[in-house]
Amino acid sequence: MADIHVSGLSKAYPLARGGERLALEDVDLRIDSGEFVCLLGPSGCGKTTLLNILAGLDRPDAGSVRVGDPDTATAVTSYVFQEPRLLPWKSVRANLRFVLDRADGADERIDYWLERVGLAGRGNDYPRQLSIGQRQRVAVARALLIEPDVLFMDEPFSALDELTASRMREELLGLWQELGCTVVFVTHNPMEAAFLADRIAIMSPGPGRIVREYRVSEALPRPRDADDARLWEVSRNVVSVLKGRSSGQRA
Amino acid sequence: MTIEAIDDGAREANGREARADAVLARAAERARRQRLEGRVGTALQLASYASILLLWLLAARTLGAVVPGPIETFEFIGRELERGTLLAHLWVTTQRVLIAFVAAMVAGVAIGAAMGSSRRLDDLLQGWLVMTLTVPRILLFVVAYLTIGLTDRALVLALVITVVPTIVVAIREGTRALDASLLEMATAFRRTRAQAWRHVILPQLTPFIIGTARGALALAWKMVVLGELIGRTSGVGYQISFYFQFFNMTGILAYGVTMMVLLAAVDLGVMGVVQRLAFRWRAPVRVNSTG
Repeated sequence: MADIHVSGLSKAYPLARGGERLALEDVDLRIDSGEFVCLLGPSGCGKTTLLNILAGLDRPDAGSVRVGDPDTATAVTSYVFQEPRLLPWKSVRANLRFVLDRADGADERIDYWLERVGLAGRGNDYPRQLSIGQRQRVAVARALLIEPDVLFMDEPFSALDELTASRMREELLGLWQELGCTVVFVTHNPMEAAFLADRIAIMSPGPGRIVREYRVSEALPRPRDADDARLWEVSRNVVSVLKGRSSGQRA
Repeated sequence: MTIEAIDDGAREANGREARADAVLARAAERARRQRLEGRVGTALQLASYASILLLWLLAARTLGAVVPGPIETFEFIGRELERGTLLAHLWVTTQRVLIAFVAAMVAGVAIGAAMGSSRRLDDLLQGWLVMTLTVPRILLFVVAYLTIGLTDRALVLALVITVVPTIVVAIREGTRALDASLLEMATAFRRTRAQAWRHVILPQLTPFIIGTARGALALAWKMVVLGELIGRTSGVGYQISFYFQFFNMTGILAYGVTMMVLLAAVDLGVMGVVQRLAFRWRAPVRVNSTG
């Protein structure tokens, strides 16, 4: 299984008008194997940057990152982006096959996952024939098909209508509990974080850092109900941390 | 529920149905109008070709001494076909064009993709690109014949140099326009470079490759005649220079028209089919001649 260990992580970007900007400063974060952690913060706080560094899509300028077994530091990781990022010239089935290394048994596994995300029989359709929600379901199937140890998700439901999004959140929790993989989930939506996470890492911008970690599992045992009033409470607490930070910064 | 209430309900249901029928009828009317628009389009295209033929007929009638008419010209084509000369020369020309076209496409796509993905290579080859884009085409043929000799090799080389830079420019643009987010997706799923090229990059370059292929084929097809006219003793260009020496306008037009018709047929037929096959995943595209 795969845990995540981040210490002293910093990242800077050059600005177009000259100079540089610190996107992340001195971030420490530990995520246990099988844990569901949300990175929550306003836009521009570096949460996607942090996620991309964890996923190996970007490199840190300082600090260390380890994803996976402490000895080998290897893990199967996969990613669900904010947009589906399907290959439009490939059928749904071919899009899924693209991420598989072995051909044997591929069709059965693809069919299985298509059914799990509610798209049985749509394998031969092209992405443009699907709704945005269905495309994102394919992206989720693609990410789970490779049986990841760690699943990275970058605001995967933020482009969907709330009804679809809430249904997909519930389905995601079901799949996660079944697979037992570690999930790092980026969001700017406190309610979403409260519903999904074991733990919320609250981030603030300028430069991006983790200001507080909020353990949700104590306040809200699973299984959770999307209508549970306690979700609002967690959300309010988290928002007050965020607001406190920004008002503290102004002072 | 009273009888009247049931009647009201039935009336209301009837009214809703009638309104829905009206809406559907309007949609059907729109579809009908669209189909009609399509037929009008086809008719206009036919009229466009017909007007060329008409102008040609008129020109032949008023300038009969200099301009042979379409019937005369097509009779000439028929005679040349019967003698076998037309097909023989056409075949020689086609071979030259195809060899140059294939070589130019391979080189052009490779160089264009390399320039599009490497800033350094782009800077390094900048001068060569500008030079080959701006050199007068006729100069290329003359220089090739003078340095290599009056051979097919010289002709094909000059054709390749004529065509390659336009392919390079198109493919370079295509490579620069690649969707970075899809490449990032391939990286996130640990795909190899070869897999990314085959499944992510090449499909994005395909429209640029097909688009530039049509342009390149058309350019080579038109330039080969010039090259043959200057320095070869076979091919359509040679036949045109031959009839030019005898002031035989019918012969010149016969070979010219043959080349034009063939190019249009290849461009609209073969390339159109290729385009449709390559873009099955897209909404249907309209194929227009670029020749």
